[in-house]
Amino acid sequence: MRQPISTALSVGDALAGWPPPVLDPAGPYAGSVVMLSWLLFAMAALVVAVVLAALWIALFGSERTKHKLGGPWLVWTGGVAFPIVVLTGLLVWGLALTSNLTAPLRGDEMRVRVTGEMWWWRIAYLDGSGSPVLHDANELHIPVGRPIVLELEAADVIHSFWVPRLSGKLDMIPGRTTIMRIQADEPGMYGGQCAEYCGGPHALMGFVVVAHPAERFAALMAARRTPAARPPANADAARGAGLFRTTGCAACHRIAGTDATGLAGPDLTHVASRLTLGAGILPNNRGTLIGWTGNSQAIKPGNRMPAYSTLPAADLRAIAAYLETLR
Amino acid sequence: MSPETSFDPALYGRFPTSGDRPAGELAELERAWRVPSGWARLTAVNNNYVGLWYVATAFLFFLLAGVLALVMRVQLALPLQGVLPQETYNQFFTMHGTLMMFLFAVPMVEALGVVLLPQMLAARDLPFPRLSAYAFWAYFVGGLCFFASLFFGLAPDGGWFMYPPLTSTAFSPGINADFWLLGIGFIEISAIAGAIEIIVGVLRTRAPGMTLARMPIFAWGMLVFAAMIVVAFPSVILGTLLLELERALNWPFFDPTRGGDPLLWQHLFWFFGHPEVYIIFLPASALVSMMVSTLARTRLVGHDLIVLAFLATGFISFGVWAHHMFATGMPMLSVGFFSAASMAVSVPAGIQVFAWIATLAIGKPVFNTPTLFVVGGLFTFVLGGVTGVMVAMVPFNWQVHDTHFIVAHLHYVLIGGMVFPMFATFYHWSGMTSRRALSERMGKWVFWLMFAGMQVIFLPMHLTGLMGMPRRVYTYLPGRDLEVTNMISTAGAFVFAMGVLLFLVDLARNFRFSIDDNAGNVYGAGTLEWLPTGTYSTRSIPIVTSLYPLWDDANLAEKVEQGRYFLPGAAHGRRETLITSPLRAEPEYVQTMPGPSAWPLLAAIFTAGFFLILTVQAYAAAIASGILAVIALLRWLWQTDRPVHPGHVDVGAGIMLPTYVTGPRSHGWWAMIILLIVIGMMLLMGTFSFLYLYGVHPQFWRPGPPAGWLPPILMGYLLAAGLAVFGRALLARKRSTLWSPASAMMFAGAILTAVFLVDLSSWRASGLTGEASGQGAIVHMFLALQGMLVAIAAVMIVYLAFRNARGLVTRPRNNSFDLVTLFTGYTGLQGAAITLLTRLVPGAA
Amino acid sequence: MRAWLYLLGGMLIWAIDFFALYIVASVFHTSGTARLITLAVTLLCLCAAAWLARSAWRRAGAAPNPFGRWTHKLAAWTAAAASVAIVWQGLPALLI
Repeated sequence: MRQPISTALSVGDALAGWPPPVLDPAGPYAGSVVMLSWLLFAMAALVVAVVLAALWIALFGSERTKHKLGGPWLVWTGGVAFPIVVLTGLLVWGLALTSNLTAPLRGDEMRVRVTGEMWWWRIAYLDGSGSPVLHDANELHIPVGRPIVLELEAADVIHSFWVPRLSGKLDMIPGRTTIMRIQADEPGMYGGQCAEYCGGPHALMGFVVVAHPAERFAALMAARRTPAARPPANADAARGAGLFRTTGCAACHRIAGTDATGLAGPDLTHVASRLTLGAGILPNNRGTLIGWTGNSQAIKPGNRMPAYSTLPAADLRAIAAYLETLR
Repeated sequence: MSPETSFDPALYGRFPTSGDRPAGELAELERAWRVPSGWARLTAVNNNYVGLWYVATAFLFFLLAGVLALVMRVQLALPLQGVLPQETYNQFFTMHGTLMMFLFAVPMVEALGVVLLPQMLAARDLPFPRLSAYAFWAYFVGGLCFFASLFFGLAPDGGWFMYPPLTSTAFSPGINADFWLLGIGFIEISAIAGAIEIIVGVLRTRAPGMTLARMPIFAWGMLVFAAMIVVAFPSVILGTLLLELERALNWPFFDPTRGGDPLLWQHLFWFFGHPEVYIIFLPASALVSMMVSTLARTRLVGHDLIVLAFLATGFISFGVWAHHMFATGMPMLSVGFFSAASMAVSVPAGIQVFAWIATLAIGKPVFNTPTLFVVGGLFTFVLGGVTGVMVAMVPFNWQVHDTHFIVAHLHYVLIGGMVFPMFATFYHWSGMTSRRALSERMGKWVFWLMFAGMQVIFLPMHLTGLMGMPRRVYTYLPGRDLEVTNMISTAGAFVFAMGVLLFLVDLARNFRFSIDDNAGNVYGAGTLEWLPTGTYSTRSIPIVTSLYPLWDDANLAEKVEQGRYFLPGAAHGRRETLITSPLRAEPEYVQTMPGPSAWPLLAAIFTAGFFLILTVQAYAAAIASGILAVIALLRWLWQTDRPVHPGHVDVGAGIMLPTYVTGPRSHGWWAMIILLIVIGMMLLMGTFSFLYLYGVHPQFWRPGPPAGWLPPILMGYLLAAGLAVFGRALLARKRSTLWSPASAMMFAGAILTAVFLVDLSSWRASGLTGEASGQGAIVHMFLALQGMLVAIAAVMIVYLAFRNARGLVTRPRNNSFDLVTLFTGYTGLQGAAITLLTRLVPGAA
Repeated sequence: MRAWLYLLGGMLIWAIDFFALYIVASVFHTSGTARLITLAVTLLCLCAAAWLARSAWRRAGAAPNPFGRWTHKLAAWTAAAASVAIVWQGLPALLI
């Protein structure tokens, strides 16, 4: 069943750098920071302008002006009084905003556990008591207009979860759980990337957050919670299902409702409905499925999935056909 | 003026002396300070030579790290480029940062201090010339070998701050990370040695009359720089020790599954890492302050405010470290404190900027190359400073942390605050060390290429960060609009590189090293380093009565050259300088300084060898190299601390000063105290680590050995410390025999060793191993540290016994004895502290 | 030694203030207890630094020689700078 997702934006837009995502917020946790950002830019511009003006006069001004400018008064005013005033104002604003952004929530918000792995994202939607009810990878679905609490963990090394249009970043540190909030006020797709160097292909560890209107989100979650055991659509896919087991895919990848229960790699139960492959780096289509399965090392060197380049092309096509049935 | 010492300031009235100096006096001075020729020149210890080699080596690392950056920029010009494979790129950016921060920036400002400071203070040399030589050669050999790891694909690849668990054995199985950890080790030794030199040099070897109020601003900058090194470097020394122990012995300091914590590394690293950038900036800004006043041909406006700025920065920069960790989930109140301190630390920088502008305004600046670099640096630094204030604001930080915005910020402050001032320094002071000054014409081209290139690289980079590109990425995906800004940055990199290349051409064409025949005071500066010099520095050491002696006394140079002040010759035929008091620079005694020697060079080679061979895990060879290093060290020390005859000499105008001083006024005592502060800081950071791990994962902690062990161990350590002090007291007593003091020391050493072994075995018996948990790791780390100190104390005591046997231990007081007493006493006290701490938490059994 | 302690007195007070606050926040996290202790420590250190600044300034005016004047002046300035830093250091207790 196709998941209806807003088509106003494409994945490309989610990853676009223009307008700069940090200055193009789509929710309150990023939005309140933008105003501070513009204030800071204004402060920076003001200070640079004052310094430049003073420097200009000092170097090229007339004798009289230079003499009026030069002297200890300039150091006391420009170097002591002016910074103290400006910085006090900024500090007060900054601390108040920090407090605001981390103010306690009601406690009944939707919670998702995201675990940073080398080099992908393990996602578990949690119920009220904190137990996982749905597993996924590399793509986070949320309802629009509500704060979502993310419990961030790390399986191996330190990673960092960052989706700039929705929030600032927070590190994922082994041995700890760090808590952040995101909220999208518009339906759409929001790109993110790991922001703490985690070795190897850290540069290619991305993800997408998809925000749905409330009813669509509820429908999506309900549909996904039902086991995805459907008979394969055609013979090729059936052959692919068999190959999935015999070539060892099931050792790392889990597909709910089958006997593939591997946890080392991303959950593939709904892989066909994902917008990207390889953790935010490839579009999801037959060609990329084959290419990734056959030789992910060529695309994302050093990642934990071995290259299956010895598999004949027909087998790769069959596996891809099977994966395409997993919506 | 209330005097600090017993020196009568009225004696200054005897100077300048009149009449001709005796024949042969100058020749004697030249002979004492002669530098060996040929290959033996490598054994020279004069600060002009060591300083020059130091500057050249640091500059070489700047060039090497710059080439790495150029290749990185080529890779990032377009998306998904394969100029460098992923692993190589990861090594490149790690090495770029590590080389720049550890092998270029700190050594360069240190080196400039070595070259300029003694002359600026009218001292003949730094107080421990062989120590400088040792520090330099260790850095030279070790640094080049470390760089060479790139050619074997063994360069570290964890980023210049090497966060675990990525850099733990599990995720960095090769020896690459060990190269970083052990490679940085000897840099740390060099930095500490340099810091000791600078502190003692600035506080004890100034020209008479140069009170703190009349001390050049560069001396202030270097003093605060050195004090910061003493407080900050032990943190990274401890951190690197912990990570290396984790990698080599599996002691889980940073492994949360056994009670360690990855954030412990970050705290230890950044407690060092943030002061590190001010360690780099302060001396450079101090040089700017000196140049601004010379180039504007007027006194520096706000001199005392700048002194305040240095002192304030020196302290407050130690309170901002966790602003590198805002995104790690610390308690918000804590985060707020670090944000507040980060705002505070930016005020002193602003004071300096406006002081420079005010000085330029009041003066008549000349528009030459140094001025261009100074003004260009000022502008660039201010841009970096304002983005710094921006990232001190926590919510903004959460967006731009770990993105190219930060890369832009850090390069703005470092290039504007250190690199441009460095080039200004090269052009400004080249006349002091070269026969020909560097070219003004070429210099202007060098500046504009570098300045324009720099802005083109890093201004767009702020936008790159805001567009979502993180740091330390070997590539990026197409379709993210990142191509334009990246391409612009890469173009700028080539412009910048051309500027550097042109500088090398200028250097090759014009720089000819000379001390006697140098180009002279081309900019008409007013401070003492511009006095006519030889290898002996100045012919005589003047009395200072102002901040700008050459401006306030037009004939000073001539009078100094004629020998009309202190020490116009070699008072007792050896290398000498005046030791003066810290506050008012009143003459106290004459220090006899060592001349050229091969032992520091050999000790340095074997020290570097020890660390490097350990990295490649050839343990037998490493131990051999280490033993040879210790032997070379002891042979070097054996020649020091010899009785000097006569006991008092004429330092000029009939004033007699002692030639051998012991106790708290001696420069050796000061050096040992500073070293003990370094070790004490390691103890403090170790204590922090201990309490931190306990606080984070108390469930992994268990009670220690039975409480019955504590009193005897405690008393044993205190007894050993007491015996060391007693030994020193015995030395002063007329009736004690030749061997009583030394025996007391040997008992102290034996007790130290015994008590340490008892402490160690009590922990062994309790069943706690180093690998078991965070607690096991930390306890064994403390034991390892204490064991090292006990071993060093034992070697020192045996060395002292040999000196005693040869009759080299003078009475009633002896410097070598004093230093061994200090070290042994400290070792006893540290042992007591460690044994208490490790047993009191979580609760005595 | 005493001279240095005096010269750096303001900054030493700031250091004590900062590290006390850091320890409090590390042990008590962002709680009412932490905020209260923070405000108390801030007030105490602020008074100490301000007092030092004032007394050093007075001594600078009365100093008999230029070096003495310089020393007292600098001590007063560092204490004043420390006071500003201490106030900023205390703001998180009110705002966070």
